[in-house]
Amino acid sequence: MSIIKSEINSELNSITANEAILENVLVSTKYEKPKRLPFKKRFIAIAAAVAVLVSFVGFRVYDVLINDYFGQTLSFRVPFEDVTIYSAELTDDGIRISQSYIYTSMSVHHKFDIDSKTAELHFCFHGEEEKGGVRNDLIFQAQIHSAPGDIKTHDEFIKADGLYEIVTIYYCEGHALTGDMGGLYIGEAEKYLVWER
Amino acid sequence: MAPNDRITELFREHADSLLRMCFLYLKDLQLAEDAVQETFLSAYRSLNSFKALSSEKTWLTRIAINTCKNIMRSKSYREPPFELSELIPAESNEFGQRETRISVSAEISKLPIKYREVILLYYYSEFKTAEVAKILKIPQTTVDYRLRQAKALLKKTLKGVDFQ
Repeated sequence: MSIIKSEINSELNSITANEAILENVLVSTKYEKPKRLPFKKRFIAIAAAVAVLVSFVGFRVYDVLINDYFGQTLSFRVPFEDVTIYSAELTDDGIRISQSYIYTSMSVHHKFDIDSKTAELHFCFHGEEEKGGVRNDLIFQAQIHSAPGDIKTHDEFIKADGLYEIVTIYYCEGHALTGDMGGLYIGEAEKYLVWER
Repeated sequence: MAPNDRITELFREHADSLLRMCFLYLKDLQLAEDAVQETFLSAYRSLNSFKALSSEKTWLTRIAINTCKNIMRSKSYREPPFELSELIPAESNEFGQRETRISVSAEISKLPIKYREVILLYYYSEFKTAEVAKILKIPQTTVDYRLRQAKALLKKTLKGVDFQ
């Protein structure tokens, strides 16, 4: 023990924390439990956890709500750097997605999760050419599978589904999901689209 | 362990030294007791967020110092002169004469706060300079410098006191 410590303890030995202080603390906390993390910190913690998860899986998630009728063009705006405008058109072959302002070097994967009223559209960009490359307009055409190996035609779709709502657009960047075109599964969806150029 | 038991345990272990440190910080026993009470209340409320990245002593000391600083920043706070006479009985010499010896506590309490706190944390609470730097959120080199300055000031009045 340092000399100073022993001197202070000796000089101030009459100063002791009395039990009343502890009692006051315990009484004050009688009706409260130790706080959870403040909301802001909890939010940051959760957001950080999600961010880690998202960066691991390679997803960016945006919500877009679009009503779509067969025979009409879906147009929706997505905030993905320069790639901003997409349109989807239902054709005799299925659904055709028109993409403007996308780098040619990006390969794109799409997936529709389809039930009676909703469809989820998933884009997966390979990210290495994001900062360069030549813009080009690409058109992808789709064959729609209601389940792996089960191809539905456009007519079947009309009969089966009618109205579509695209409720969620998922983006994934990087190499986490670089499966072959049409071979991409996201999540546990049983239904997916195979896209062919 | 239940939160109440945990706080009680922490109180038994650290409250005295925290109170003395707060007293030397604030120079007012009542305020020091308030500070200690507030310290343990804060500790109770954030028991769940204590990640044990530092020792409990470091954690509590940091809370206590923040509490003391908050009190000192309050408009109602006026730094009182340090009076130990009520706390330290004067000693009698061999001739039965009462004599007042130089008090280490009093001399430390006369130091400017930036020197006082490093002396208290380093010599009284016995933290290493790196820990003092963390508690005070200042660079370790600043802690070293302040310690040197504080010792130089104390040596003028506390002749013969070994600072080891």
